[in-house]
Amino acid sequence: MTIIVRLDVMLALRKMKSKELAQEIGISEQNLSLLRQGKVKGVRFETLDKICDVLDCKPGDIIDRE
Amino acid sequence: MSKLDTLSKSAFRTCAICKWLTLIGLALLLIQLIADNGLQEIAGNHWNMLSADTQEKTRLASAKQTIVYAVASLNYLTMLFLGGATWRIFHTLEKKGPFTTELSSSIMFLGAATIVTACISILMPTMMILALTYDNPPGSRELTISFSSGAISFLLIGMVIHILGGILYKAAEIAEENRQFI
Repeated sequence: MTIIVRLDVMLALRKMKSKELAQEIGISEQNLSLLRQGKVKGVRFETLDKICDVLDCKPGDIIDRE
Repeated sequence: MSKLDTLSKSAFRTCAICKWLTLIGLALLLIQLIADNGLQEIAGNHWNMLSADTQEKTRLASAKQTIVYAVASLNYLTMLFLGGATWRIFHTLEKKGPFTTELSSSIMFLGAATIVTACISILMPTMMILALTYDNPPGSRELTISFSSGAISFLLIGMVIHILGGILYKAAEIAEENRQFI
């Protein structure tokens, strides 16, 4: 099971910098960077909801499984 | 690290002061051992526990004296061990902060050190009297078993500290896992 985080793709599509997204959703850039690299154990529904809200997308657009 | 995960500056300062006070205490203990001839005092106290008849029949040859002092030094060694464990807690708290597995391990270590110290203090009279009289003629060898309420309380406190350290270790592991959730 491999979970892939496609946050980079979504940020590129929305032409948004990760710094802006971090500020909008209220987490540190360091944590957002870890999330982008998939180096976290989990994502809270609350964080996922905020990301989807800012990027105007669905959770499936950010997280995928191969 | 959030504000909840760390201590205030004054608490860190107190930790540093306590760490150095522990070191000074340990140094004073060593000085007392050397200057005040602590081992001889411990041996003397146990010598006084022997009956007059046994004292007469007990000869302190140099080999026996070495064994007696070695047993007496266990008392100081456990005190140093306990002091070292206390120093380790303050040091870890100062360097790594609270809610870490390292600090919990230090607390468990202090619990273990307390248990060892209590066991040694319970066994000390038995070992010392045995060391003093083991080569006496039959009938003048003594075996003492004694318990003090202080040593038993110390043992129970050590067990509680050890268990609390184990619980804190699990809590620190959970906190560490939670930190990895974004």
